[in-house]
Amino acid sequence: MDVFRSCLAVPGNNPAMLLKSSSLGADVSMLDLEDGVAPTEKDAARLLLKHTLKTLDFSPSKVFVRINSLDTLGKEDLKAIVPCSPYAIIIPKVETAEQIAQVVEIVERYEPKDKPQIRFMPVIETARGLANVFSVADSSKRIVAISLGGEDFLASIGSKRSRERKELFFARSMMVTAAAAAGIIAIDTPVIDVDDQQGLVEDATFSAEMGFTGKICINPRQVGTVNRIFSPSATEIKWAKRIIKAMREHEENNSGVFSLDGKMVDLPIALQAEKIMYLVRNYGLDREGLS
Amino acid sequence: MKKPVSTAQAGTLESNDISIIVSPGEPGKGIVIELESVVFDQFGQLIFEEIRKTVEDQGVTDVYIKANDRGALNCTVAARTLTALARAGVALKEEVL
Amino acid sequence: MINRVGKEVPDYIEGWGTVNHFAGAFQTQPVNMRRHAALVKSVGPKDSKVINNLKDLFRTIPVKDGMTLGFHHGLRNGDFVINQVVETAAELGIKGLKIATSGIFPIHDGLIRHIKNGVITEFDVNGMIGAVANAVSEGILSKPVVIRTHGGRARAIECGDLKIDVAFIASPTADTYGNINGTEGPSACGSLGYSFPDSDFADYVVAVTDNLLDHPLARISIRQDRVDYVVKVDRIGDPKGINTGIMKITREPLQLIIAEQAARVADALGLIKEGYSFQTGAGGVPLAFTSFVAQMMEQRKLTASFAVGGITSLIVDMLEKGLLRTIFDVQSFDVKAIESMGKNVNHIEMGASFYANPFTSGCIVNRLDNCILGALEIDTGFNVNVITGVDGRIMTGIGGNPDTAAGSKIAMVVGNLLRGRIPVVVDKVHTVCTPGETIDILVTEKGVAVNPGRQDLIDKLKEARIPLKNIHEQRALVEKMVGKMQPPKTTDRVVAIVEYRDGTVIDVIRQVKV
Repeated sequence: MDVFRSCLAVPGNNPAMLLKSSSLGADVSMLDLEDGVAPTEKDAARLLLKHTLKTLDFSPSKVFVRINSLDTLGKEDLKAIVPCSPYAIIIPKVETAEQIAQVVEIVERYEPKDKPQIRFMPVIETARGLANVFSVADSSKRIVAISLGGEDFLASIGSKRSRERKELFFARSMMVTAAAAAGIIAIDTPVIDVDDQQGLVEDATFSAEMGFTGKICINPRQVGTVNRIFSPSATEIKWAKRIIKAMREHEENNSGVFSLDGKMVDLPIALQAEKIMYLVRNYGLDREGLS
Repeated sequence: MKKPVSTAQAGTLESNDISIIVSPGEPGKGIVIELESVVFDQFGQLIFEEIRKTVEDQGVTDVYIKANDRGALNCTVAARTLTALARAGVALKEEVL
Repeated sequence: MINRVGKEVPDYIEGWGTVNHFAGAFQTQPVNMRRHAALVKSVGPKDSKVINNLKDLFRTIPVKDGMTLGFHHGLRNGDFVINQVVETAAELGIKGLKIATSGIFPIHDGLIRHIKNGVITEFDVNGMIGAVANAVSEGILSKPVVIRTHGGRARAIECGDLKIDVAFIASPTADTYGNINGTEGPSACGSLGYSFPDSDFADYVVAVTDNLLDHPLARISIRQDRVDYVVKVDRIGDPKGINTGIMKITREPLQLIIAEQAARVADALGLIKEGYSFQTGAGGVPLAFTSFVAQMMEQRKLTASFAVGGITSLIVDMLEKGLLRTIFDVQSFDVKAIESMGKNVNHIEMGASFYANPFTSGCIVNRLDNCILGALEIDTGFNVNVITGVDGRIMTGIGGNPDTAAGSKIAMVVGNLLRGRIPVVVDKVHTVCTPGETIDILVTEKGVAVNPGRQDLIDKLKEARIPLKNIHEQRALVEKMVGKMQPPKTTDRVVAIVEYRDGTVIDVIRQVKV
């Protein structure tokens, strides 16, 4: 299972930002051909991304490219970008599993056969999209994550903004559940006010508690906070290591369910501990909680 | 051989970008490139060559190119040149789309 | 010959003489050397020092053809004094002067006229910015300019390599008997540290002031018994050019990331502890570094022992919050630093010799745990260029870079790998100012590179799981991105000598082809 915390949005028509993006500490660089590019510059952005992807090394960030929707310029985007083998394609405004199938068909045509299959991250940003999220999440093995486009979604259901964002609660719950059911991860919508560091901390904490694995960042300043909040803490890591150690000891003695610190350790607890260590390994958190 | 139909521009004057203006050139003069760059002495030759090669690979001739570079890498130079050519009415070869 | 840092330096230079080649950061030592002795004078109870104007002063001394005039750059790009003094010399028909100043700025662009007219024929500086720097790079002078470090200039003056006939000290405040301070007056600039060697060793010392007060001053930086004359002028400088307001920490994301990584490296090396001593410059990344370190020290309830160098409000904040015990100030960059020096007992003004002169019984850079340095270029041998740009032109100053690098336990160069399309990590720097043997670590946005000579640091950082990216990899990365850069086109003619702090020649700057 692919895991990542920070997904930094990078405007696709901006050479200076493209150059910098891999050094900003984000797990994923989301190179944007869609809403981050002016309508008159879509052609320029497509060619710029294509040529930049051919020659620049974006590691250690993974490269995700957000194409335009298939009913606008998405096909041209795929033709140009797929041969460059980005790690994943972000498909905006997804509402049905059929739309995913259409993308798969085009990608299969242009994908280099000697490279790993290109992955997908559909964006759910409408009421219909959310209504179909379970079938969307399950629709292709290429899908590694689903992400929530909160602002567009709220516009589509006609809600009013509240400080604690309760109007997003149902959508967030569904996203997390659908992702888990499909064996993939859910990525949360960004915080739009880039100067509100405190608001970001609160929102990201809530998001992590709800079960999201990561969050979209629309400004480099948000990356550090998001990485920190979506990483297991030092305490969690210590706990997980103890659980796993105790589990191994009990396996040797064949005891099944046991207790640690007066609390029962059964399968869900064990899975939780393993999940934490999985994140630790993937994020290179060799020292307790630090990256 | 292809020729641009009109004058068109691509790219910006922001740092790391290059502004390329493509116009139909004098018949028989081939590819004429006028280059200004903030790193002219250091990378001018490489930038000039990238523009020339990109245009030539597209089979374009009798074209006048005015380039104003602000420290663009070669991949950006190629991309902006192709964009300007397409906007000027040149049908780009399939493999670069 | 190809010298120890791999640069082609002639054995003899026209206008300089036989070259004493750089032999290593600590190899050249003073043997049977004595300090230079300035002229002895006597000023009695009935004598007055106040002279009405510069012309009268010139006639009184008298200033003659071929003299060496000393200045300090505490007023930075707001200095009027060099221009006033040279104008006066020109009006009196004086020629062949050597201008020995710690810094030439764009405000001194008008000196070109006087170079062309032969009023000035030589420069001895720590750095040059602006039209004069360009003209020198193009070969306007017949004798090469001597470029020294801050510590090296102090050494040269004290040991007699640079004999100053008349030192003109831009004095924000002076009294009628010659006491000077830099913290009061409309042109206050804080520390006058760069002028201390001039005031101790020049034959004649003149206080040039726009704030003349009755004797005695309460606060004295330069004492009356070393000052021969006092001249009052309307203005010695422009406060807008002197001060930069309060320096703000960068918000540029890459710079913040680099600074934070540098702070983590310092921490991993065990530097962030009780008694930490450091020097950070005034650029974007060093300021951010200072801010991260201050946060760490506050969280862990630690106190740094001292900070050194060009002082900014950030460092003053640390002092006033109790995170730092002492500041040693050779240059006060902003208004808060000036005020602090005026009121805080533990914000101490220091001279360039105390700061960085290697030929003394111990300058303060020797006691530094850590310094954070900038660089225009750094090569795979860790040699640093802080003086010439990609076009081979002199564009800034060497400053204290070589001094602090040599003195500090751990010297770190921090900065972006690329500036636009210009690579910062190169195969060979155009001008070596600071030899690689004194640079320990490079931190860029692509990673942390450690000088292979410091296996102890490599081991410590590996243990702390700080990811390392060696300098050759960083060089290969940047070259792949930008392509092969054309080197500057120069002639063979030497237009400037780059002197190491010990008086040896570490490199030369050649005339650029126009």
